[in-house]
Amino acid sequence: MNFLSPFAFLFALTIPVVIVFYLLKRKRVVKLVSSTLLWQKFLAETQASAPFQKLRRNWLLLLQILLLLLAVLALARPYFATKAKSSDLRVIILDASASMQSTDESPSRFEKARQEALKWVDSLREGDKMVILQVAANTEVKQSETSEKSALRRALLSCAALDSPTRLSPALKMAESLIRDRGKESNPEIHLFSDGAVPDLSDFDNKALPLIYHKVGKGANNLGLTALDVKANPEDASQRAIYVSVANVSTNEQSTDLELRLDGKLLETRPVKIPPGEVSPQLFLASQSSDGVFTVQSTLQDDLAADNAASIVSQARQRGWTGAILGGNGFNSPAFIKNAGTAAEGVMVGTSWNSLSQDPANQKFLASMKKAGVNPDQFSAQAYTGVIILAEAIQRSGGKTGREDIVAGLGKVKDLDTPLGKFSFTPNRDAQHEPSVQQVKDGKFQIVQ
Amino acid sequence: MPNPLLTPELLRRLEQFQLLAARRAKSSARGERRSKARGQSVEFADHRNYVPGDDFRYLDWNLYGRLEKLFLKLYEEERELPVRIFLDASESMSFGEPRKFDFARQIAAAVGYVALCGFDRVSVIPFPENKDEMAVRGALRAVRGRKSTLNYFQNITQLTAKGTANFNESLRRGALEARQAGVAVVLSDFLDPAGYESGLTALVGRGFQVNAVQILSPEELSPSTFGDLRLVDAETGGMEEVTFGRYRMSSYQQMVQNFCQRLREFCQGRGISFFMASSNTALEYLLLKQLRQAEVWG
Repeated sequence: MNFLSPFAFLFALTIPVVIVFYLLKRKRVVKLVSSTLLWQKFLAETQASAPFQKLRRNWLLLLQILLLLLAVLALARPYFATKAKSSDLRVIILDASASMQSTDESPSRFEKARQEALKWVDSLREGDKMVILQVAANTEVKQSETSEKSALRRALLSCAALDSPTRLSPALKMAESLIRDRGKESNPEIHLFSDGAVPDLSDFDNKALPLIYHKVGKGANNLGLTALDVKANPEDASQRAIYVSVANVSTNEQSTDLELRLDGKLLETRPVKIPPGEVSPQLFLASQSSDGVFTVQSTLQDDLAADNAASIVSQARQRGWTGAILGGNGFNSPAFIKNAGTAAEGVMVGTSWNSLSQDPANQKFLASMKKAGVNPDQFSAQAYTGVIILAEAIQRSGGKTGREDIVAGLGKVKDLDTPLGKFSFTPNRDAQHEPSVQQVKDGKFQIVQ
Repeated sequence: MPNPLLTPELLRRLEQFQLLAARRAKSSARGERRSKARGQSVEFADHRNYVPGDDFRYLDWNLYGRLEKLFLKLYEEERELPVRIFLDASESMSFGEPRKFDFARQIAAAVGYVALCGFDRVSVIPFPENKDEMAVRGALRAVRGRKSTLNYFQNITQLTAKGTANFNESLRRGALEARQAGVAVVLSDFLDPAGYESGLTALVGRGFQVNAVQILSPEELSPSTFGDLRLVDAETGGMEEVTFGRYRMSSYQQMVQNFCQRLREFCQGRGISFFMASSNTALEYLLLKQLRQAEVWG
């Protein structure tokens, strides 16, 4: 046990005050005696030791002192050290979706999660701050950044499970934006209390959020990559050693394939089998001819997808890599900028779609996407273009939809206006359109001229 | 003779005693004590020359026959022994079980009875003064003769213990009032905040043969009330806050012993016979054994 305010033990100095009170405020039985002369002499003789002899066998006094000691102890704010890293800011995300109402935990997953979160509030150290987000269909800030435990507890107690699905992305984004502003010396953490029944975490695949997932519920299965580190192979300098920890937090044995990619190019696939509750360390050896990003991904479909992929773009920057980073197709999404944050600055990505193109076809595409409420990325544009090309091919072949007709029609596609630009097929049936190189600048993709 | 003070058996035993005075009586009244005064008795004392006017009956004719000179035979005058009993009748004496004052009255009655039987003059001086008992106290100022014992006992029975005593002052005045010194018996608890030294010294200085009996109640010797006490002095009204428990009993008793021991040593240093008695002491033991052994009477 430790104490948050050990100086409060100075309050123990008040104990003698109680004793003094006790000596002063003593209820006495009045008794008439012939003469107090003998008693005076008696007192005079025993005066030296009298004040403390008076205290002997005095349960009332002992109780009072005990109470005072307890009060002092409480003022000293004792806490039990947990394994928590010291953190300036903790963002607590409490999943309040319908699935949290299931009762495989007693009394319910939500209550369990709330209790867990309360423990974290209790272990909050002086000066550390906490934010509480309740997430269901909407994300609600239950308590803004504060270090006041009573307010945090109140906020947690005011949370309630709702009958709605989980949309975790906005909450994670909010948490991310909260911790992004923190300085380097602080150790922000995001604590997610959830049962893992969250569908849409694909945006966070390539991210280095300091996310700590507190799993609630027994039935769910989750396999997570908990650590990723790349080092030069000590035995062969031309190779890289990639250390990965795969943790199985579910109650069943899990099998998965681990995919190691360099800039999206699959280098190796390795099947692993992990007993329940265990962490399996894996070592990949790969030669690296050019700068790039190693990605390790588990193919198993589990309940919380956010931790399946670990990207090291962020880590590369954090570890002081100042060289250029060239990304593959996987980087070509606004989500990448969001996830990698400031680390994304300067990363160059080849792309087939220039989102900023003022071309009318592109503007039309953007408008219709906006109407549908989708934030388009390269793949959206490519899919859209594909349909346009198909329609053009059918048109060119005179409206015939036979196999041969469409093949013939595709060959006739020439300088078609698509969001990707003027599109044609070469005689070798390669797609021909204006490619562009994007670079992240000021948090946005800019076309490199 | 119904007597609440002393049993007939005890009275019979006491009749055999006589107060022993170390010095010759100085009283002017005749009694049964040897004195330095010359007067009428059967005890020859001295001869002296005849001077005209002397009573012829006391001429020693045998001596005249041999020496042809006239001598007068002188006899010792037997005088009475004044016995003054200083009886502490302050409020503090009314405490105890049995009451200290009752015990003191029994001793006063016994001493008085022995004195009266020996034709000595008894003065009981209760202190402090009590105006309600003027008549009774006046009657006890001077009691003589065996025939007065009944009245004496009755008057003593009517005394009450009340008020605040000034021990030293009372004894000093008693010593000054006495025309002749004699035997003084001091019956008190000696629990006076001002002490007892100057009073006893005054009596001794006046020439009294002093016997001091300290009477304490069993409660005072070993208190039976424990806990947090606010003790109120019955006489002075002074308060004393004491926390007393069984574990302090021995130190209390030690303190009482020290107090009594100091009094005893003070008395021994001045030729005062000192007795300490708890008020539940058997009266016979004190009167027939202790006082006799100490040669107060015999």
